[in-house]
Amino acid sequence: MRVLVNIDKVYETIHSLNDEKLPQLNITILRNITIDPLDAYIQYFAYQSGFLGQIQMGEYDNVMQEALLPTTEIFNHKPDFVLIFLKLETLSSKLTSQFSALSEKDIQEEKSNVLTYINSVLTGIRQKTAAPVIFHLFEMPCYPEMGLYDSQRQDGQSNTIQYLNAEIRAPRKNFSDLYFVDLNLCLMRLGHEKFYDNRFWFIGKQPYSLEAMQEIAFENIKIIRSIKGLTKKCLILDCDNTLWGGILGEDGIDKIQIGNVYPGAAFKAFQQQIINLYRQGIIIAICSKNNPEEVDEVLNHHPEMLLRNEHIAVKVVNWQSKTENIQHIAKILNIGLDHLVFVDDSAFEINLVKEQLPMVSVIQVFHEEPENYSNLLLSCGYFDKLSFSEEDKSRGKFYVDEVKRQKEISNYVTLDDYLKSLKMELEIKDVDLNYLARIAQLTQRTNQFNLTTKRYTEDNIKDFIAGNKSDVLYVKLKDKFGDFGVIGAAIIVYNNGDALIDSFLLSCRALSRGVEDALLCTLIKRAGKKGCKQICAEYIPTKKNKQVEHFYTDRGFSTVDERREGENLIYRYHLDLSLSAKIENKFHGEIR
Amino acid sequence: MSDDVIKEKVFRIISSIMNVNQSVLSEKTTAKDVEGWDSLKHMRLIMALEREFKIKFKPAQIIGMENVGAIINDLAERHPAIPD
Repeated sequence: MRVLVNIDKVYETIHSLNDEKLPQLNITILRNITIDPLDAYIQYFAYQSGFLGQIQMGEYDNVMQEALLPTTEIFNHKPDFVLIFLKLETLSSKLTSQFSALSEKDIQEEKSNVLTYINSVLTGIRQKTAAPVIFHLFEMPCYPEMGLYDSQRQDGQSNTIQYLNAEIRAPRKNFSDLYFVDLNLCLMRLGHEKFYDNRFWFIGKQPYSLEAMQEIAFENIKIIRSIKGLTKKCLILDCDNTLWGGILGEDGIDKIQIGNVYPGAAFKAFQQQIINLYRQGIIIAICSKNNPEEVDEVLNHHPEMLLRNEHIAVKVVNWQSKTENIQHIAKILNIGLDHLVFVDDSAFEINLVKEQLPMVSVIQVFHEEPENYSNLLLSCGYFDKLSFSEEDKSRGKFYVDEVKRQKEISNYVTLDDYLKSLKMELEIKDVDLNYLARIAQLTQRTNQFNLTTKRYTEDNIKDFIAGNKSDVLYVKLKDKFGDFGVIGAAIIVYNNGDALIDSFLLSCRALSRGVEDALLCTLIKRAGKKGCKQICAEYIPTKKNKQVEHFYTDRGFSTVDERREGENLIYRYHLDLSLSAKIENKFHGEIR
Repeated sequence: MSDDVIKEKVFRIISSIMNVNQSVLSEKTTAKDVEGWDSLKHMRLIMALEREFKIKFKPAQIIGMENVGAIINDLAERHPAIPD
């Protein structure tokens, strides 16, 4: 669905990047094929996501040596990500081009050789770096050696390769942060003819076409975006010719196209896709120039609509400018503009948003081709995630409830009264293994209420909870409207009678409720019990966390110093624990 | 497409891929004359030319290109100039 980016433009962009002041992204690539200019596409897409990609390309077919030998320099650049390209054709010519000559025993043996090889490579890499590893799974043969017969067999060539792909993805003990790109998806999207270029394979061991490399690079960037916390949170939809065909104001509720015949069927399929995103925790909003009563009528009563009011957190239907309305939606939801994706069929609206709110991602759909809407939306990968938690499952509904909560605020005279009425229940406890994924996810995704913005993997969190040098606490919140799940975390490290708050973060869904005070009080008590005399804390400013710059000083901490570490400015504070009684717990509710 | 247009495009693409100034390029330039014009960059160049001119080179042409002029001539034959 995505158009091929002109390769000229790719080179021009990346050659002009030297003066850009962006965070660096070091990527090490190990490979047993030639994959050029994959690096250029990765740098190009990395730049679009706000990073300066630096690629360390391993030598051709030198994967095992680079992974195992202590002398290799390829990991010296502190990779943020390691990409592995092992093409089965190079790894095992037996399985790829002499399969029909193999006995059952040979096949077993060769399968186990391949898996052993991969395990050695992965183990070697882990000894050199803790960076996330992205492994590219094997492609299925387009023409299995034994043709039709292969499809009839359980133990044929295709199934053997499928088996390998399944085995590689089996959970590994002591090895997390391993992710996979299924090259078969890239292959299916483009088709065999467009994906491969056999000329370059035989001339220079380069299997993939330009289109294929762009697709593969993008697939990797989707993973990188997700790990870096850049997954989008909210989908904002126009109505006319986006959710349904036709213009509601002109055609009327009876004439808009939505239903089981074309083009209505295509719009209905798109709505199903939107609901699938809602179920994965994506917030759905509507931004439309229409009469609000008419849109409500469709959402409530049109018999063919799949998308209903219950799915929609915010609806802004009026005749004002869409840029204002989009800003309004971000404000109501309390999320950044850069977490929004706006879909509209009007080139005018799309360009206006692009120009005035460049942080918002936009997708223009073409109303003459509603059959393409779903794939267009999915091909951008804005909402793709690497994991799926209980919190994700209910987040879409949470925001629908949240907007109700905000409407209720206006019924109360003071905020305190309102907070008391919410009947909040807070649970602050030590993290155990069940919470690793959610806590790592919170450190990766939380930007605004995050004092140090340190991103951690599940392994990192595991290290923090092992032993008695540090504690990781989670915060769970419930109120009368619903369950928030785990919405905050803190990491506290003990060292010679001092305690240091390494991380302190809350999801923006839980702000302005005094939860932060309850968490801080718990940390202070904890440090006291551990026999600490003082507690230290840090604030590392980022573009997004200005709201917490006075967090510690407002709560009686005194500033110790500020220092620079790399790109970061770090402010350090401390609090004498004998004075800690000063900190007021402003949380109105039950704490367990 | 006129020969001049082809020439200009080819020079621009080579300079962007090899990351060299266009002024160092002429029709007599060979891969050896340009620092970094190795077999990898050569494949990059072929792919970029194929995108730009919407053509496909035969493998024998890919490995047999003598110099920049040969590339331009080949493209000119495929894209005969349309008289004004």
